[in-house]
Formats: sequence, C-alpha cells, structure tokens
Amino acid sequence: MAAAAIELHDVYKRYRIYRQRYQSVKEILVHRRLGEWQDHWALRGLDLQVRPGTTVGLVGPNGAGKSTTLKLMARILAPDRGWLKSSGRVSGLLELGAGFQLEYSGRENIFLNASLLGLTRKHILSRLDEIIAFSELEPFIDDPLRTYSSGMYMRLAFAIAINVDPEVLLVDEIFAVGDQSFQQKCLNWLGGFQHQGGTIVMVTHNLGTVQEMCTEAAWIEHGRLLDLGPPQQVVNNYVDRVRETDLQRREKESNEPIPPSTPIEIERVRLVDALGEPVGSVAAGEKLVIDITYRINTHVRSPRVGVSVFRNDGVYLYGINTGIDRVSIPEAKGEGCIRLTYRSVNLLAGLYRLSIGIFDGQQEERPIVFHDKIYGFRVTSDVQGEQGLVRLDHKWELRPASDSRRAAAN
Amino acid sequence: MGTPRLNLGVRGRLGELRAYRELVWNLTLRDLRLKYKGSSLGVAWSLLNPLLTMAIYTAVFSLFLRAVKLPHYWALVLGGILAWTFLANSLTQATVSFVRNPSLISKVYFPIESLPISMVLANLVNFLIPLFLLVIVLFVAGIHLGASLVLLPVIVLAQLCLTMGLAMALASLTVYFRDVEHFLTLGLQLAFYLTPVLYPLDPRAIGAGAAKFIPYAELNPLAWYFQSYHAVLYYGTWPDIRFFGPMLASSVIALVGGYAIFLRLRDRLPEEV
Repeated sequence: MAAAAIELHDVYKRYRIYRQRYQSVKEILVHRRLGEWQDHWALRGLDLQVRPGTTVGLVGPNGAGKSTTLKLMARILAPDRGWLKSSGRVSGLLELGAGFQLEYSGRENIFLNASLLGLTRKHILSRLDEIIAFSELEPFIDDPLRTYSSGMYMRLAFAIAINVDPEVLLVDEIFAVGDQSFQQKCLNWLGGFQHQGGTIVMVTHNLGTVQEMCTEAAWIEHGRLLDLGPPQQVVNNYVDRVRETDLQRREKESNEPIPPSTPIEIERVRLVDALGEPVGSVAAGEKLVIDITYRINTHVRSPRVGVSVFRNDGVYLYGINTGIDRVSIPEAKGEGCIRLTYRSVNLLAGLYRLSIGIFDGQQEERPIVFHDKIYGFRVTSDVQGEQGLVRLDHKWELRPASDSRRAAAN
Repeated sequence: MGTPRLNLGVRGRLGELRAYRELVWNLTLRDLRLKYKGSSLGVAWSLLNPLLTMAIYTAVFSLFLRAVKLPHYWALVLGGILAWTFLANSLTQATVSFVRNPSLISKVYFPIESLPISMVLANLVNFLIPLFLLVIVLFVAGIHLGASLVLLPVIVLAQLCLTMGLAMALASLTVYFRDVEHFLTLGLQLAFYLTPVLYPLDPRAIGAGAAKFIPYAELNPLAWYFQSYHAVLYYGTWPDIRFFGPMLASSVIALVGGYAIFLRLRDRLPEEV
C-alpha cells in the first residue's frame, strides 16, 4: 500500500473552554492563573489514514471533532498527544479570501491572498491569467474589491485557492460558492482534481454530497473514529444511529409512559431510476423516483409524507406532501412504502438535497419524523451556461415576422 | 515534498518564513498603504509628523525651559524623534497584530510572525526616508558630521533587531494578557522621558542638577541606542564604546529572546487568539 497522504495516529486535541478569562495583569496576579477553564478534549485518540487519490468525507454530529481534524491536517492546530504526518502539499479551503482588502483591486488581492497561501511571486505571475479567467472577473479585476458582490468575492477567492497546486485539499462546507453555474464549475474542477489523483478531505453536513463525491466516508464522534468505509455504508450506519439517539432523547424528555418507539419511522429512502436501479444522479429533464419505506408503530390518524427539494446552498426549490395531492396513506400498523415520482427533473446541473418528513394529518406543522436535508442527488446536464433556479421546459421556434404582427393586430 | 512538515524546529520555522517572503513583502506594502489611506496629504504625513513634533519640542525645551543649552538643538531633537517614532509605532502596532487578526490566524496556515514583522518593516520604511532627508538637511545646514556616519546603518540595524524581538514577544504575550497593549502605551510614554531622546546624557547640555542622575540613566538599555544616534547624527563623533558594545549585544539578545518567546507560545496562539 502506498504511504498515506495524511496519517493521524492516536491524536488527542484539547481546547480550553474559558468560563472566565482573566486578561488583565491585575486579575492574573490575584488569581494566579489565566482564567477559569475546563479542558475539552475535541479529539481523543483519533486514528485515520487518508490514502492518496481518495476523497474522504468526514461525517458526524456537531462538536464531534470534524473541523478540529481538518485544522490539524492543515497544521493550523498542533496535537496535544499523538502525531500526524502528511506528504505532499496540503492546502486548506477553510477560509476563502483570507486577508482580502476591500480597498485593494481584485488583482492586488490575488497577490496578497496567494502569498498568504504560500505562493511565490513567480508562481503567482505564472498563474495570474488562469486565476482571472477562472473567476470570470476579467472586466472588474482592477476595480476595488468593495464594489464586488459577495458572489464575485467568492469566485475570486476560490479561483486563487485552487491555483495553489495542492496535492491534498481540505474542504469545509464551501459548496455555496457564487451562483449555480459557478458552483457547477467548482464541482467540475473538484471532479477533475479527483480524476488527476488529487486527495480530498471534506467536512459537510450534506450526506448527499458525501455519497456523491466521496470514495470513502469517515464517521467521527466524540473525537474518535467510529467507522471508515464506503460512503453509502458509513452514511447509512450514521443515519441509523442518529435516528436511534433521537428516539432515545425523545423518550428521555417525555414524562408520559414511553411508547415502544415513535409512531412512525422512516426506514429507508432510495433514489431509483426508470428501471428501478438505485442512483445518485439524474440527467436534467429525466425521471427521478424516490422510494420511501416507513414503519407505522402506533396508530396515527391520516399521516402525510412530505418531500422538499433544496439547492445545495439551501435555497428551497419545491415541496409537496401527500395531503396536498390527496393521497391517503393506510393507517394500519406495519411496514409500508410510498413512491414519489418526479416525471421530469427540470433543474440545472448541480447538487441538490432532499428533506423527507412524515406529519400527523391533524397537526401538520409538527413532523413526527423529519430527515432534514440528509439525502441528496446530483443533476447532470449537457447544456452549459443555463442560469437561474429551475429549467423551464422550453423550445425555440423561428416564425415568419408577419405572423406575430397579425397576432398583435387581432 | 514528500517529507513530513509538522513539528518544525527553529530551522524549519525560519525556512518557512523565507518561503513566505512574498507574503511579508505584501503585508508590509499593505501596512504602508493603509496607514495614510484617505488622508489628503498621504505619505507626506510620515515626513510632516516628525517635523511638526520636532518644532514643538524644540520650542518648548529651548525657548521656554532653557534647559538644553546646545547649538542647533533642533537637529538633535529631530534625530531622536525619528528613531523613537520608529520604535514606539512599531511596538504599538505589532503588539496587537495577532489579536486584531483572529480569523486569519485561526483559519489559515502561514508563518504568523509575518504579521508583527511586516508591521516593523513598514515602520522601518517610514523611518528610513525621513532619516535620509535629515542627513541631507544636516549637511545643507552646515552641521558638521564626521566619518562616524558610516556607523549609522549599524545602529539602525541594531534598533531593528531590538524592535523585531520585542514585537514578536509582545504580539504573542498580548494573546494571553490583553492589557499588555495598555501597559505598553503607558510604558512608552514614561520611557520617552527617561530615555535620552530629546536630550543627550551630557553634563554640559543638561545642567549640573540633572547631571547627577546620568549614571542611573546610563543603565537604561534604550539609552545606549539613543546615545549612539546622537553621537553620529549630532555630535559627529564616534559612539562611546560603553554604549555601542552593550547596544549590539542587547539587540542580538532581544531578537533571539523575543523569537524564542514567540516559538514557545506559537502552537497555542491560533486557538487562544
């Protein structure tokens, strides 16, 4: 086996959580310490090997140590115990546009930001045209940065960051870069980077992205590695666990006699194509089928199943539920499956997320079970340069000019 | 590539700083440009500032107090003010260079010492230009400067080392003790008068009453630097070896010591800032 691109061995990382921080000399002399703090071990013996050429997604609940792991890999933080080793140029996309000066022009910011990322002047000069071209900001590159929109700002930042020529890229939730078409461009770039043997470690709460882009997923919880393997499998295990702990928490919170479990559970969600094969992506305009398998444990009156589609940056695109469409779901206990078919997915190329919930027909605002944006799919398209939120089904026709004049006269 | 780049030693840290020299340069330019941004006189302020300050001190000391009995007193004041401004501005700005950039330090990996270093370098530029003009003015005004002027770059270099060392130590310590910043402001004010910036440690110049404190004033390390400046920029004599030697030694000690303090605190700075 080739040497790991990044290897963490038994890594411990401690933070001081200050309840009170003594920052004046007087206070420090009085209390004889820097503050009242508690040690918080963000990582407790994390072992992780990232092999070259793989894309590893770190999943886990908030505070599990995912971002700390990335910061250690980026060498921003140093471990308290254990060691980590990296080979190759590790570059972090943790903070895009670091050190940007609003008064500087786009071009001047390229030099400042790129040198912050460790590039030499020669390297920057040789890449300048490429950076500007990728950012699509040619006409504005000599305008001050304060005149840029936030989308332009991020485009410039991303264009610089990827021209560092990294061998290992660390990514922390940055897929909301610019507009949809630029997002697609970034994803394409990442795809090309993967293809050329680049290594990626990413943290994202979008499990759909993990399943789509990663070759491996690492489940980190309480500062330890719980599971490492194929994304599909790790994500499923993780989602199972989240559901379980959710259940346990709800049981603990409720003072009433504890029901065996929630009235309804979502057991499985599968995206399948026209032939019934599981898929992760769909071509724009094609059919997408979602099979939702659920289990009714106790009697619920007229349950409703709802599915919402979000763009990867969180923009809400479409939501529908069985109540609106007057589809009634049998109330009988036991397992059931409902299939939702989008006849044509008229969306632009990119990543999308799905939220799936089951509601009590009587109190619709309170879901009985809700899986918030943990499923996802990718839309592919041959068409370049589409803009906006959705693809409106369309066609163009050339018509004789006289026709429209007559129509207007009528 | 291919080698582990973690747990850098001193040599590794220095090598990395060298690799990031483009960054140090860009940050220095930024500090220079942002300082006078928006003011109508722009960079001219870096000349005007010491000139006006000098005018005030010359007037106060030589006209009203009649405390300093020196010919061309303004020349001594100007040299002292320029060197002091370099020291004081560098330290006040570098001290907060970590705590004012928390998102940079905690989100991006780079040799963070570039921040205080570039602050000092920007102030060095703001010092060298008026210093160069001062030397010309002194010649034009017919004030006799001797061959000892060749030592001026050495004194500037020594002060640069001292300032760099202090800047890196203060910037790191401020992350833990936020009121270093305020102590520094007060300390600099006090030191300004205790140090022979506006007067030389010369019994002929400051009168018998004050002269009896000279042996104590000579213990102040900053006095060694300013006595050397006054020697080459005002008296036109060779600096007294009793000051010049300790000055060189202290500058090296400050640089090495300050860098050592920085290295000692370096690893936890991104999470404490």
